[in-house]
Amino acid sequence: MISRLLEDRKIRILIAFVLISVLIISTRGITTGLDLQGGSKITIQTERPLNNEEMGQVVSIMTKRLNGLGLKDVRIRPWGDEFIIIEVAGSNPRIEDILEKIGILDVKVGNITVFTGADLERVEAFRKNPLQNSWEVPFTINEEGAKKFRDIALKTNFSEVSMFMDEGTAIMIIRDRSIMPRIGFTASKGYLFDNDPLMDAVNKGILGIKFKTNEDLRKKIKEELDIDAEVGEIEIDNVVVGEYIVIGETMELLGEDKIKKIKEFFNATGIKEEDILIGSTGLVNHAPIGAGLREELFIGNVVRSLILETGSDEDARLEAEEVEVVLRSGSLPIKVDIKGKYGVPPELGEKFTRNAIVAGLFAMMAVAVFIFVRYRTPKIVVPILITGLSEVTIILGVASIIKWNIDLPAIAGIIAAVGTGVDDQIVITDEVLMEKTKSIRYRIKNAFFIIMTAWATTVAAMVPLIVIGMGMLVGFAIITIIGVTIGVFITRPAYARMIQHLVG
Amino acid sequence: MLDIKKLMIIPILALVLSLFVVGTNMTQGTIPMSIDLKGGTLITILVSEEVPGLEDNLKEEFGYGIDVKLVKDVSGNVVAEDIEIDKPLTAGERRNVENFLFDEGIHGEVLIHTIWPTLSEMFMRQAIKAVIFAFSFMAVVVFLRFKTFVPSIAVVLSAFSDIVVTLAVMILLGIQLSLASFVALLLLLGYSVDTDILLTTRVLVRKKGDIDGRIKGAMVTGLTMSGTTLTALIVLFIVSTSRILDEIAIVLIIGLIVDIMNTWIQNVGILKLYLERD
Repeated sequence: MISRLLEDRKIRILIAFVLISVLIISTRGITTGLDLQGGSKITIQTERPLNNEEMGQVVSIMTKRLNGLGLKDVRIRPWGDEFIIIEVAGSNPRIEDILEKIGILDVKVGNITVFTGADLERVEAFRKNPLQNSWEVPFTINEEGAKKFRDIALKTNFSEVSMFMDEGTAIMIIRDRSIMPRIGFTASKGYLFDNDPLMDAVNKGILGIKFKTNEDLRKKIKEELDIDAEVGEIEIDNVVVGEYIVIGETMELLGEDKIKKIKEFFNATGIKEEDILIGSTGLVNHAPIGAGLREELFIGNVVRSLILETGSDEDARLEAEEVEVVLRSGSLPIKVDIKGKYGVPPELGEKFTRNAIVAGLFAMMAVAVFIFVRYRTPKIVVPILITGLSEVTIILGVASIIKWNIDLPAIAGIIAAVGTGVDDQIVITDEVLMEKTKSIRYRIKNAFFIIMTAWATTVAAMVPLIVIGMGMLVGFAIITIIGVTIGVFITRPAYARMIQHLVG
Repeated sequence: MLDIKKLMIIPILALVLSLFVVGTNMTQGTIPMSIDLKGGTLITILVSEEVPGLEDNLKEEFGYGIDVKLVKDVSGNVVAEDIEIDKPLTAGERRNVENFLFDEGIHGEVLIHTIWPTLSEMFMRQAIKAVIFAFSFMAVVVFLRFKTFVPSIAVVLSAFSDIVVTLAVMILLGIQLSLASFVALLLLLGYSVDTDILLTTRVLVRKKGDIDGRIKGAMVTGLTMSGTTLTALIVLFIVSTSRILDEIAIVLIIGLIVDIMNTWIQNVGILKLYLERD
């Protein structure tokens, strides 16, 4: 009897598909999604709705940045005209920073801007400078930028060079001067929070300094001064010694009026002028122009290859990597905000996979028992199990070819497809068993009328999900459609034949 | 056979009550929802045993609405704890919580999932839109297939009742509605229509035997279908530790039980009334 089964064309088609799928899966593997592999899912909202071109630009820049960090499995999808959904396998502590940074480079000599990111012609990979033991990013600028650099350098008698990435304004309010000697705090150059002993101390957790956000003050500043800022308190030994305020706009953009208003705001609460420090933030590096470079510029040469140094420790290395990646990708056309971040650690992911597979097997066994109780013959249970397993295999094979991410909603889709598959097989079985008087052809045709209608309604239900593009539900919908279609055109006809030969 | 037409009062009553429950809760905004719909922050900490008093300490320190749940694996071991906070946290607030957790001795990895209400409103709107479209498309397919009005309406009504009554049961049981639940509701649409199509085809299209006989035959097949699916789902629910799979399973289990009532009492009743009127 088995040989008769194997000769049947429809059953052969099924076997062929199963074997091909097994081959595909074993060679290409199955790409698992976040839930199984571990990684991050980030939802980003843009400052304002974007048109297609702008959105394409933003997606392209973000892709470059994430690839630049060495993250390979990156999926970036716009959603509507204001949101972007990013799924990244694996993780990197800098993902959020790198996505939120607008990436506007501003290089000044003294206080005058000499060139910006727009003047960059080439950015090289970040590296360690062996002589000075520091991390650096070499880059080349265009002729214009180089000329201005030389001219201003000469005019200001080689003032210091400061390089800013997304320059902003920072304000520090000092409430307790007695802590000053303890910190060795220098804000004299007007750069706050970067290259700054205070920030170093805070970041390294020494001296018992804590940063806490102050929502009330932030709201007040927004209401009374109409400024969007990050506002926090500086605590040492649980005593508030000051506040810090970081604003996205540069001091130039804010304008003298606004800055005056800020000072008045704090004066009104009893803070003296000398306890309000205002400076620039976003500084990556500031250094005097090296002797060699000075010579070149002095004799009139235009130098286009320059170096951006970030420092010598581990933080500097991460920063150099970030600078390189951001500069290479170009600056974002608008501001973005990270609205949601979801991280799944790989261990949790692995446990879930194992658990999902175990659960699936148990479910299958339970179904087998139920079917046996109903039909009392293994001649039906076995084909149903075989067909069910074949269906899962073929779906996974298709998912492997199109590199579709198998994540939990996709698994749900597989369950949906297999569930309706078993339903359909029961329909076929009952039609074949019940109407013994009619021809087998007739019985199976009847069964397929029901099955095709069910298929059409399932597909109709899934289509809106894909069209509306609802995040994870898209994967679920597509896998379900693939699954039920494979079922209707491959596995169910084969099952019909099996039943025909065995029981009909 | 029992007078199905008299029994029909049960599903109809269930539908009316459910419409009331769902309607009032929707307008009052009291449908229990998970954070991916209502917004908030989910913090997952990887721990191997429960951190004592975490919920109370967090509430005391921050004053947010906080719910701490344990996450266990197959063998029942604690693998993580989920801290659900009812408001979305800004970057600064997140940092504060991370500092606090560190101080409390939690030095392992801390994962933070923030959903802002605007995002969630959008999810809600999209989700509702999707369900309405799915429903309409299906109704069109069914009508094209059977080409008769009343039986097609019966199928559509049964599917509609399934969803509304299931939603009502979920609200009454306090089961959270989430993105996964929406997935399940769409799955439910598919499954529920399967049984109704089976019934309608057997009764309308087959000529053999009397109506009651055909209905009984359909019921045997239909209950086997629902039975296998229910068995699989119950096992899935018990064995699986994945929150998403559990959410899907519970909605489908409730839905399929409701579907049994709606298909084999309500739909049958409508068909009998339709056929006996001729």
